[in-house]
Amino acid sequence: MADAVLTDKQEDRVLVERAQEGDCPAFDTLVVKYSQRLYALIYHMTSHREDTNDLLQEVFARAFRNLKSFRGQSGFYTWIYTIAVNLTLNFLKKRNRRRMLSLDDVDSGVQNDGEFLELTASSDPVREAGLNELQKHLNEALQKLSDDHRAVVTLFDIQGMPHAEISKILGVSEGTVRSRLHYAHKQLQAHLSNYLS
Amino acid sequence: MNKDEQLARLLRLKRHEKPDEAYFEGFLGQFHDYQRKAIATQSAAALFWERVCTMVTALRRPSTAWAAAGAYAAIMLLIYAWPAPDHAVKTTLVISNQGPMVQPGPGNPAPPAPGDAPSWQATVPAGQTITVSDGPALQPPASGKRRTIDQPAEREGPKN
Repeated sequence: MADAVLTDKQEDRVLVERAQEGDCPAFDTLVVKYSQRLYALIYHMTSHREDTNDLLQEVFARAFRNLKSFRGQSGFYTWIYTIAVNLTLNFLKKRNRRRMLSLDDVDSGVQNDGEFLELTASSDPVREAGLNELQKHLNEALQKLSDDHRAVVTLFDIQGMPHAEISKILGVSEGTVRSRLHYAHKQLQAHLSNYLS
Repeated sequence: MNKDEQLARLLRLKRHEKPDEAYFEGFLGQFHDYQRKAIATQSAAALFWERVCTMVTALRRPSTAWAAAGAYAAIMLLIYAWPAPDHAVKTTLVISNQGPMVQPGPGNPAPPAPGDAPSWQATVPAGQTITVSDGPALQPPASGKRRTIDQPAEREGPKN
């Protein structure tokens, strides 16, 4: 696993160096590589697919324009995630809070997800709610969090990122990340109490 | 399974919310179109500002923030703790006994004629030292009457 991560970083470094020298296809490779992960990050923070599409393009455009200033002190992955989080947080500050959700479909793979099967087997409310209603409630609960709290929940709980990496991306201490997570979990438990036994 | 674990599982279900594969297949082409439009419309000033913001963001780390805050505090402390210089300028005038000297009559001060030496030369005895300060003492009196140098000289001069 560690070797795979190292290889991934080395691969990124080579692609970034080539892109910095003007090799556009190298940057295209980075776009293809990170578009799914960054889409997920922005989407879970905004709960709006059209906004996500616009923001994702702006993230890559900004990364491309500023690629010369990237010195490689952090990984490209951390750098582009930082751009994405900051751009999304700025966007959310300006966006009307009452905006309606615009959600992506839940893929059919969820029906075979072991955790989902276990949840529906053990929790009557989850089983009775149905997938679409559960998805709507989850997104509504997330939108009730502050933007900063939603960012840490997205990075930690949904994307599975470690605290140290989140602290680098958000530019806060690990203690702050843990504290935000603790507070956000308490709030989510209150909003989703019907689904938690 | 406690509530924390249940919540974590519920949140992980959100990973299944995603657009279909066709979206990501077409994304690169969409991105190229977006870049072409952005290059045509974005101003040089906006580009410069964006670069500054990205650089600042890249530098933003908790340790850097603490170091910057410490440096700022030290500079402010230096500015406020430094002893303030005494701005009151004191000038010492020494009246020389060389040059024209007009002796007024007793109780009958002669008005200075045009071309005569100024009245302060006439009324301050030679060799006397007076100190002139730019402090409030030299401000005109509230009555609006102009204060002349012979007034303090009469007051401070030798009493006969």
